[in-house]
Amino acid sequence: MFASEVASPYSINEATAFLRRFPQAVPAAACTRLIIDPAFSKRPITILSLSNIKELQAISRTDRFLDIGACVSMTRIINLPNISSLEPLKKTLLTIGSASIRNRASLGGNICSPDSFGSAFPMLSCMEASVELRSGNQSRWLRIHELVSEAGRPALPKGSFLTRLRLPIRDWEFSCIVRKGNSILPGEHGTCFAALANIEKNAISELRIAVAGTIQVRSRDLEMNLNGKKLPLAAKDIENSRHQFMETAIEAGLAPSIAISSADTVRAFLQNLSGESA
Amino acid sequence: MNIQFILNGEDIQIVAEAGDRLSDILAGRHYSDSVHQHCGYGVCGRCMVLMDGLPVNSCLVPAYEVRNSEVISWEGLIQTPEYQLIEIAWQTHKLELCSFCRPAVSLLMASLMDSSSRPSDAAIEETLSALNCRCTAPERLFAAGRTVVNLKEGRNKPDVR
Amino acid sequence: MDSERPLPALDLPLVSTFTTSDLLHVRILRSPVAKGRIKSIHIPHLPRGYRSIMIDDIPGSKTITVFGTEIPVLARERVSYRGEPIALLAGPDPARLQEAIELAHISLEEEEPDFTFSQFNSDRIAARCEYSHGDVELAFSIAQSMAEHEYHSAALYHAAQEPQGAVVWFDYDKLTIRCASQWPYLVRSQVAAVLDVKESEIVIEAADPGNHLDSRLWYPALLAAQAALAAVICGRPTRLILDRREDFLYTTLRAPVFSSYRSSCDKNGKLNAIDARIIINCGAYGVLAEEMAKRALAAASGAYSADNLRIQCYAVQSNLVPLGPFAGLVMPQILFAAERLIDDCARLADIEPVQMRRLNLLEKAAELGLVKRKKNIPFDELVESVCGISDFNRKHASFELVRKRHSDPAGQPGRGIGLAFGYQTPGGFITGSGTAASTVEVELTKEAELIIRSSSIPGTAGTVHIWKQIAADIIGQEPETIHFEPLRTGSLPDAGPSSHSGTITIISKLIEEACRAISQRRFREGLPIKVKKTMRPKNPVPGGPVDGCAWGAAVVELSINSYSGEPEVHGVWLSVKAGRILSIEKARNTLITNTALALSQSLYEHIPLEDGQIPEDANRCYHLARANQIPPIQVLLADSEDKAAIAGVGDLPFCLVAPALANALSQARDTPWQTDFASGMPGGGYW
Ligand SMILES: Cc1cc2nc3c(=O)[nH]c(=O)nc-3n(C[C@H](O)[C@H](O)[C@H](O)COP(=O)(O)OP(=O)(O)OC[C@H]3O[C@@H](n4cnc5c(N)ncnc54)[C@H](O)[C@@H]3O)c2cc1C
Ligand code: FES
Ligand code: FES
Repeated sequence: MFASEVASPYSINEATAFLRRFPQAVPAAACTRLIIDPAFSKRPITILSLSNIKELQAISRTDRFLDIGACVSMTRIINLPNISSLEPLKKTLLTIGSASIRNRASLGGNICSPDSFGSAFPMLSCMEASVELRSGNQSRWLRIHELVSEAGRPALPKGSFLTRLRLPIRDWEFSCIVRKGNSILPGEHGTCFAALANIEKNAISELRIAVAGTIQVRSRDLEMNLNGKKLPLAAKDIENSRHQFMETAIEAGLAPSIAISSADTVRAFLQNLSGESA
Repeated sequence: MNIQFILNGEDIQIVAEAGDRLSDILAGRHYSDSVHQHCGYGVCGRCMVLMDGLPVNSCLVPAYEVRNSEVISWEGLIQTPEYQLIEIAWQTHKLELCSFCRPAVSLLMASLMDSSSRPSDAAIEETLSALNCRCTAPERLFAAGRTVVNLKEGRNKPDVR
Repeated sequence: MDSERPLPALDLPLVSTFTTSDLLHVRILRSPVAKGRIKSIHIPHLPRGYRSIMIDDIPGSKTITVFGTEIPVLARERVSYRGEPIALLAGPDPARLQEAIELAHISLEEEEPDFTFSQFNSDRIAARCEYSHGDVELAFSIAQSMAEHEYHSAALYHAAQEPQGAVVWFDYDKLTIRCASQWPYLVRSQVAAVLDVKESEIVIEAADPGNHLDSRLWYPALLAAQAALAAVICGRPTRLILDRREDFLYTTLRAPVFSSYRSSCDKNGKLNAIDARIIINCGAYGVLAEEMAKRALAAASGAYSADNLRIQCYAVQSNLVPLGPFAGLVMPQILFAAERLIDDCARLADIEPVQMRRLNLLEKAAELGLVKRKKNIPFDELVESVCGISDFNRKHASFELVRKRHSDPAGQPGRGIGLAFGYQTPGGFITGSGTAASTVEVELTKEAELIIRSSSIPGTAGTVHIWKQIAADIIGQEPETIHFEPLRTGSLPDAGPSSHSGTITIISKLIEEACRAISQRRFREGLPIKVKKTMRPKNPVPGGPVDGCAWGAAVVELSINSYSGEPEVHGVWLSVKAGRILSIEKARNTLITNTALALSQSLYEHIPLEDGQIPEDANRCYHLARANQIPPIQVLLADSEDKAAIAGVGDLPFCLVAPALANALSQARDTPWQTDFASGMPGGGYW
């Protein structure tokens, strides 16, 4: 990594001041992704290191939400005790890198790359997480899907950085996380599929499905169609859902092989819901 | 930039480019020949060091992140009493690690002893899998990891599973 | 010159830790295209203390000769694969060298490259051989039916611990080179030829090759020649160590193999005809082409035969990097196809896989034309034991029921269990390539330390421990008092190439003999006592399922994860009989470790292809299994037969795991699985 200049502020205000002066500066957490990014091996970059800012390392909890600082390491999240609603996210994080990478790699860094969505993104999207962004003197909360452009690409607003993630505390009866493709870094050949569902009175009460790599796909139409459906689903419904997800994914620009295999996972997930409920 | 950190208990002051990798500094400048930069992108685990107590891949740590931190490499670890326990665990399970990985495995095992609560078997396996070993039966590696934890807890019973 | 570092299990130094003052780094300027004619090379102006080196700077031979094949040290007019070395740049700062490499410009007249190998022109054939008995065409013409099968084995990366490289320094009147080679004397002879100096002026210090899987058979000679050339031209010590990406993309990979078969069998399942056509892609230059083709010929029908048999083997050149040796030297790819074939035939004939194999097994003294056997193949012993511990027969039958009932292709995928049976031939080369006498010298010093000097490089650290244990048992000393002297050429005669698993057979015997001699003389003579033992291997060694092979059977059980659609292996069982076993524990450990590696290869290690080429970032997609991704592995090892010969076992898992897994996958997916990579190529296609 060719870092021509590095600022390591100790407070959010210092960081925003620096970003105002150097709008091209690249915010960095643990750098486990930046340092292996070929784009940064030669091109000089100015780094705004966020790792010394205490607030970004904090975790706090209310009855309804868990707030996680942008620079909290994945290991710390995995080791958080007794929050069952975090299990799907923990499972997701365990698929990323190795234990020693996760000791430093942050959840914030995972979802902020401008090139592709980190593997935690689709699960956070299913959990309907919110993110707190800071730019200038302002901080604002966005829903995580607002970090996705219309074209389905990462769209962290320029000149801002992430300070916190807010996860609703809420249990999920069914979860599924599948890594697709071989690439180490997320991208066209390295996508992550996530799904969550709850069942009430033998019907799907809530269903969320997302897949993300270079682009993110979440078919809200499909989710709406299936919400409230009685279980077990008819084979035809499952097949139609598979087809609908595949079409949405291909249209969104997902590589056809990944779109097909993601659609197959949708089918398997729905079959599993049906089977379990029966 | 000037970088100050503690390596194996000694204060180190160096001048390095901010984006240089810690592994390059430790291995390239021969501060620590036990650090091997074999893949350079976080996969092999042979560049492992303990940074502020946690095992990390030093090829993924930029120099500026090292400032004011405490780094322990194998050369430092072998001076500690924990290392004796690690060696006992290896001997118990007849673990014959290659010279490339021995330091990394030692550091990973040391980190298991450092945990505030006893790590679960899954956590032991996850930690030791941070090294990409190509020469040892995984079951033996894990058994040695469990033994290290037992020994640290004063349960001088090697794991015999 | 090394600082204190962990005690290496192999007692050999590492290349990367070497340091000395005024060391120059060497970087390679490589061809950007796979095939073409070089028109001009432009290298940017280099500052003082830096230097570029081109082919005309070479004082001696412009090529190295390995196993009879010439390989350019630097390309002159033509390039034959992308990444082929064209020039060397040497200087004190590696970053400056990298910059210069990026600014360099090579103008080439590009030609249409050949990557595929299932189709080829005759001018691409590097070696061919064939065998037949009976009349396959006649047999097919009268058979009730004939089936066609195709199997593919992909290229694989060795992923040895340290990327390849060499360091060179001047030691008085000698040029000393440290590199991790399986054949240090080859390195010495080739460096001497390139520098046009006497071999005695060059010393090769063997470095720890790690778990090399045969990646260090010849390639280090090329790197050593390049590093030595730079050292001599610049008059300074040099260091040429590839980074992981270069190691992955531009050194050797496992040779991919395409096997197509026609077969027919009677209603009882007895094969009456097999017609095999095996094509090995040996990449650029065709190193060891003949050896690979002959090995394939001897192994093409596995442990089985048919009344009518025809085998044609081709080793074909292509414009990929040199492809070749990899644990087992092409045997795993060939046995993969043979074991898939017998399973597919069993399925077509609706016969149990065990029964099908038993029915068609080579019999005692049966002649494959290529191989003469006197002894029985331990089929029943091994297959019964492996099926017993894995409960193969029951599970296979019940999974078959599910498979046959399963008519809805969109339904839940299934489970599968697969069997494979095969062998590892005793070490050595069929064609006698590079065969030379092996020598071991053992010395009991005045301090009663035992020093073993071997001219062979051990395959793994485990091998060294076995050797130490042999010596310890005979001499009656603790293994800690036994040392291997780091190998330097000149101190012992050339032993030829050491192979991943084969070397153990010969060297063990020599150590044993030498230690016995010392033990007899020990209390009659004063110390030190030195004994030297030499063995000249049979030349050439027969290939195929000869007497003296180690035999094994493997079972793999898996299910298809309904969410990911990928196989999840639940267990692997191995049963092995390997003649005389020196250390049951070490042999078992080697088998488990290599089974884990073989699983990693089949489940995760995948080299993608884009327009026939390996993409430049392929190393970033090459996953290696992590230890906690390996399922339980159980090994049954038959008792050691004290009178039998020592056979290596290390290659057996590479020969057995992939076909057992693919057989299981064929059942679980209800479709014949044609490749030894369990996920297949994304989007279909094969290597
Ligand atoms: C061997 C290996 C395996 C890996 N496997 C995976 C994987 O499976 N899945 C996966 O998703 N990733 C993977 N990664 C990439 C990386 O480790 C993770 O994505 C990690 O979560 C990044 O976190 P970080 O703190 O290191 O981020 P950094 O590298 O510091 O930053 C990553 C990106 O986020 C931006 N950024 C960081 N923090 C902020 C912030 N607070 N506000 C705004 N922008 C910010 C940076 O500018 C940069 O673009 C892997 C990396 C390695 C080396
Ligand atoms: S060099 Fe750091 S993990 Fe391989
Ligand atoms: S200990 Fe080094 S590869 Fe296994």
